[in-house]
Amino acid sequence: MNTIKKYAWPTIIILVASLIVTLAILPLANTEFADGIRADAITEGEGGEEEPGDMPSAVRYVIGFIKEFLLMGVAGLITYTILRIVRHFSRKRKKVEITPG
Amino acid sequence: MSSTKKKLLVDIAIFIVFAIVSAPQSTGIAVHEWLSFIFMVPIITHLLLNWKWIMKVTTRMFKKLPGETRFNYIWDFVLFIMMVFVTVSGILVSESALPAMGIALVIDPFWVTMHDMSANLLLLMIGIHLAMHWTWIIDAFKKYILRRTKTSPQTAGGQ
Repeated sequence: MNTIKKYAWPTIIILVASLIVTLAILPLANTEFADGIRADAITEGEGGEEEPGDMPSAVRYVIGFIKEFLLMGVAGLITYTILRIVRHFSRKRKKVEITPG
Repeated sequence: MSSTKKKLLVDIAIFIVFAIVSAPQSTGIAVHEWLSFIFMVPIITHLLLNWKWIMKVTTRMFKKLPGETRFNYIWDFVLFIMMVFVTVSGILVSESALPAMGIALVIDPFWVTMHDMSANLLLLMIGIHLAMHWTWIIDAFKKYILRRTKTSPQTAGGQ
């Protein structure tokens, strides 16, 4: 009971925030930008885009996961490297600030 | 169970479900859509378990705050918006779950494109989110999964 009480308001806040974002997103479909994307999609459809139908199912199965781990992995690796550099320099700067004159 | 352990277990569950959900080419559309609905539960739990941190930083946002904490807060906020965007656009292009519930939508190519683009962007953003909390993840994993006690993960991350 206590847990429900504790998390009731945060849950409501999260759901209301989600609803606000949803309501902000939906009108995007009525913009010129959306019309442009629709027109592009029709042109691409007419061009007869090739489906990867002849790709072996095992390869298709693996490709989905590879793409996902590549996107997450590369972004994560770059961020982690930058973070370590930033942490290194901020630690150095703090040391300088602490050491008098 | 300690709150750090709870957070770690929920985060591991999120990661596994997210890995499956994010690869519809591998799992098929039906699994992708139904699992995406279930995925909302661990995501909300993740936010609830970190609610104290969210509130604490919200109240101190315009006061003195470490740069990394400020970045994490803003990044997580944008991540939340992106997560809702991917979910809403995904619901609007549903080919399996909604029709199975008797709701048939006319699929708009605009939302198809938006769903693909935002999902790819979300993957990049999650990668950055994981990197920002990597020290906490590793410390908590060592302590609660590998049962090695070296550092306290409660103080390591900004979660």
